[in-house]
Amino acid sequence: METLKYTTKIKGENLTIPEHILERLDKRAKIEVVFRPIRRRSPTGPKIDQVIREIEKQMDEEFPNLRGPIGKELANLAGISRDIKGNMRKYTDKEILGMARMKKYLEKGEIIESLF
Amino acid sequence: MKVFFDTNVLIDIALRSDEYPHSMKVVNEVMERSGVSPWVSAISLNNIEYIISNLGQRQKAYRLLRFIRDRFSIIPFRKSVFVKALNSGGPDFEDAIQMACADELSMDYIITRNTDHFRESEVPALTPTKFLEKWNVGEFDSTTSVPFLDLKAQHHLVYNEIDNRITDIIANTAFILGRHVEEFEKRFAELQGSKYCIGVSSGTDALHIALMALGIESGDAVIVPTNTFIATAEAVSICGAEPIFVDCDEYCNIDVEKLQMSLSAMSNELRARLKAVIPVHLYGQPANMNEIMALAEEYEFKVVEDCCQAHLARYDDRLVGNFGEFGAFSFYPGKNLGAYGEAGALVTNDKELYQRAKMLRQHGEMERYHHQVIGHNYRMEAFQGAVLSTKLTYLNEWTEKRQANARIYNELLRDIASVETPLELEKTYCVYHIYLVQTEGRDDLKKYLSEKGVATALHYPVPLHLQEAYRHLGYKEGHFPVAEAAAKRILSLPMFPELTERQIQYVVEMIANYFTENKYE
Repeated sequence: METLKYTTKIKGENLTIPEHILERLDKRAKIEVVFRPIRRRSPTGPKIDQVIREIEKQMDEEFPNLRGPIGKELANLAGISRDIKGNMRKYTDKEILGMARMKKYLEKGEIIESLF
Repeated sequence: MKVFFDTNVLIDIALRSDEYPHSMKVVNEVMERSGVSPWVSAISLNNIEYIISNLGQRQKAYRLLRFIRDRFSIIPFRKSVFVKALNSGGPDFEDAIQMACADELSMDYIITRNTDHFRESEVPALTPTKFLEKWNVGEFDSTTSVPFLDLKAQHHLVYNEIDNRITDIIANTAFILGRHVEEFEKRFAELQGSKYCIGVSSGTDALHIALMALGIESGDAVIVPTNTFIATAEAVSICGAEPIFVDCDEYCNIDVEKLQMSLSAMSNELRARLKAVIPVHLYGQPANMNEIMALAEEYEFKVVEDCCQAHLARYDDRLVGNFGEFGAFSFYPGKNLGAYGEAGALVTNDKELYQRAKMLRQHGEMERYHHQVIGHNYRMEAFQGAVLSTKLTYLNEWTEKRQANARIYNELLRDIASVETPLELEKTYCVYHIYLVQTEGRDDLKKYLSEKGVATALHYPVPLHLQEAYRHLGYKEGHFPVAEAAAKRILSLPMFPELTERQIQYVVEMIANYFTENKYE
């Protein structure tokens, strides 16, 4: 029998095993209970709309003579830093560009050939 | 104002608007404000795609690229740019290329986060924050000089399309006439409400061909207004005919009453020689065409309309150029529709005249190297056809802006009693190639405005009958008093579609200051 993993809630002293799991248990089954905090997947930061509103507010305060909303077309293009791939956040644009170019050359085999 | 964006400012928007809100704001402001145009180097585009895609936002990268395609002008990566970047020795080659691009197209500012890399730039480089700070305190709005004309202001709308068309011409080596000129002829005829259009080498040449096509020759006489650019009369003289001058009216156009008086007072000998009249729709104000055409019928002369300053002008709901046998247009760069060099056109609704004019344009030939009559080389260059076809799309919009600017001038000048604003003849749609005022002490005012940074011009300081070139015709001072008086009082103020209200206010403030200081009022 393959290992089955599931999450469940503890209510008082009772731990509930869902029906679909119980159906698949046989006599040789071992049950291990591992307590682990659940990682929430929902984003913790503000959504892009909120970021845009925040930018508008901040800019209106900073540049009162240029007050006005961010255009819809531009707002639709906006991105926030947490959406950048985690391992790339530490690099500057120039470094990323360098890496992208390097990757392209490596794919073509040009760099490797030039080393020899 | 032409604003050039470094790659990093654009990437900020798509990836880190939360970290760099000033980048977002500055692009937004440039997009939203009239008179400010966004530019980017072609080299930025592949970098934008690389970087944003490699950060897992490929869709966003392409959305940003489409946004740039639709809203920005793109400066090509030419060899001249490459060489300049190579010689610059700056800390970053990509930035050196961007710097050279911005310089090549005379940008007003570069906006970048790393101003250090642009220290050698001839174009001032500012961070988004610094740029916004300057803008916020009105530094870009302050007007201390107003040009008479600003052709650079149109670059953003037309630069890339013209560049594409010129590359096509170079690639196909089709430099004279060809499909770009044909496209222009077709579209200009449609826009001007005429059946036929012939693209030629200048407005002067258009007038000359029209007169040649009508058979004007040595010994003939043609009436022209004395208050106009010399090309109107030169076309007559080049045909070997004699220009007969007539005074102008309060609208600065040919005075129809005086034209009638001149016609009725003509000797039989002169009347027999009189073949045509050339009314000029001067400054973009249509001449009184109904009355001129009535006289043409009565006295049996042909009419060639000089529309060189009157693209899209209307008289009695009819576009100029369609009353007489021909309408002659100029596309000199400063005209309402301007080429990037010399160009002109003729419009007509008469098929026979169209064919004749077309033949005259190209050495009198219909079929290559088979010459029916003596013609000339008056062909339009393909480059000019390409420029004009591109700019034609905006002519209606530009004309409306000229009219709006004229209304602002009229309103603001209303309280300055010493300045007379231009009159509009009833039933006309004036296109304000020139916004002309009249005043005493014109030369002093012109000098004062020049000192205050306002460029003005005179259209025209000497009427044709008093020009040295026409001295042999025997006219004297006093022959045409209205034109002579006007020549001493007229002053053309800055007028172009992109002129801002603030610039007009500045011009009028300076005029008001002049009269206050000189106690004319």
